[in-house]
Amino acid sequence: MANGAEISQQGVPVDKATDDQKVLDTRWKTLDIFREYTYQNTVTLQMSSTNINTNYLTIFAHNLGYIPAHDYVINSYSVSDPSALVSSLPVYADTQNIYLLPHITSFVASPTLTVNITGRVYTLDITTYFQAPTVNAISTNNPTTSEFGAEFINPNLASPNISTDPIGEFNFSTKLKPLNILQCGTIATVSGGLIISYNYPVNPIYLLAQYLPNGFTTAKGINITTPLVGSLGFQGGRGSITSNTITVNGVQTAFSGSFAYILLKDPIGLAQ
Amino acid sequence: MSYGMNFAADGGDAKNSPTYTTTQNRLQIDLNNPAPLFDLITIPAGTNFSVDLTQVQSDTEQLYVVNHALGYKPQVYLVFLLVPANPTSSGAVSSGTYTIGQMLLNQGGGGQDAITYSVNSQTLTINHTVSSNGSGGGSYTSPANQYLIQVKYLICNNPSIQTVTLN
Repeated sequence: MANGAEISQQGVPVDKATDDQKVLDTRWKTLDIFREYTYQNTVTLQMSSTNINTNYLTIFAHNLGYIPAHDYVINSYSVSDPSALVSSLPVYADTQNIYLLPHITSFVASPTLTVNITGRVYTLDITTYFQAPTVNAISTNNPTTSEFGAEFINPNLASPNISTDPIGEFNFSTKLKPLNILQCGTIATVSGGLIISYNYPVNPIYLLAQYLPNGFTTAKGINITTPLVGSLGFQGGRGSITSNTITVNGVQTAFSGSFAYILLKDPIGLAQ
Repeated sequence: MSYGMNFAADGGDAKNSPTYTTTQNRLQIDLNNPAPLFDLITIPAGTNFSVDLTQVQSDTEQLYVVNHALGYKPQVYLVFLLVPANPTSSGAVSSGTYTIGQMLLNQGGGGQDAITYSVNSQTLTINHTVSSNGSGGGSYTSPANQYLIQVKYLICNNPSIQTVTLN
């Protein structure tokens, strides 16, 4: 490379390391954690008999200025009136905020929703196309035992100790392989499916998130007109893979809409 | 930063807009864990379980266990690729199917046939489960014994989102 930095994993000379043996290459992106959060709240939903999805809740403002990749888990939820059926509790991000959009399928006057969610937001601008260069394709370099290496512990720990803390407390180590991004961006479905083309000798792990380029609006209440991206880990399809494309189709119904995606430059050999 | 190092890409500014900083936590995998935390395995997809779709029933078998022993429930990513063990057979899904998170072999008529995973603080387990909620008719026999399944898994040195406690 002209300028920048690359560091190989322990036991592999950097000038011979293949892409999957790098622990750092400044030409690539990684899934850096911007914020981990817990959202625990009880709110009164303002519902309308003619349009029952009238609510959205701002979980927090991330203010990143781009739509970040994110994921979350619903740990628990309850509604004061059980007849207000909750069909889904999706979380979306736009360029400024993380939102919860409760989808309620039956009208009940002013029910309260109690919800507990944990989530993680990454500093990855998922909707801007990125493709990491393939520098040195997969080979059969075998790492050897080495006394050399480097480690940086998480400085935010209460009492960081580089000598005794477990490897999970380190932000960087030549014994740790980050999940490098091979490619990310958005893609629209065509004829009930989507096709992601890539250029890498390993069939990558792919992550999908729903992408709403026009935001989410309803006749009453919700009026988010900025593009939104849902949580990573969308599992609504079946795929097939070749050496340079991933095709995902619906399981029982046609896939439609748009998706944001991440392909990982993952370190494992060909899966075919 | 309090301490650590910044790295900039070609043309970047390491001080003001680093591409990579050691003060930032990220998803990553321990290369030295006694049990491999990333791997590609090929295993039988399971047994040809039969269930009575008129009854509430469920059969589960463990297909593979990874003893990661991290001491906390980690963030994991899995993909599944279905390959035929018997080329003359035909099943509910096509060989070559590639899915994330789970492999649904069949669903409908009140039954479900799936390869799934579970993870806790010590193990990642890949399971085959055939279940019926009793709302269907007749019986269902899983085609799992006609297939192999390739599983590519990543076990991160980061806690699962479910265990996040920071605010």
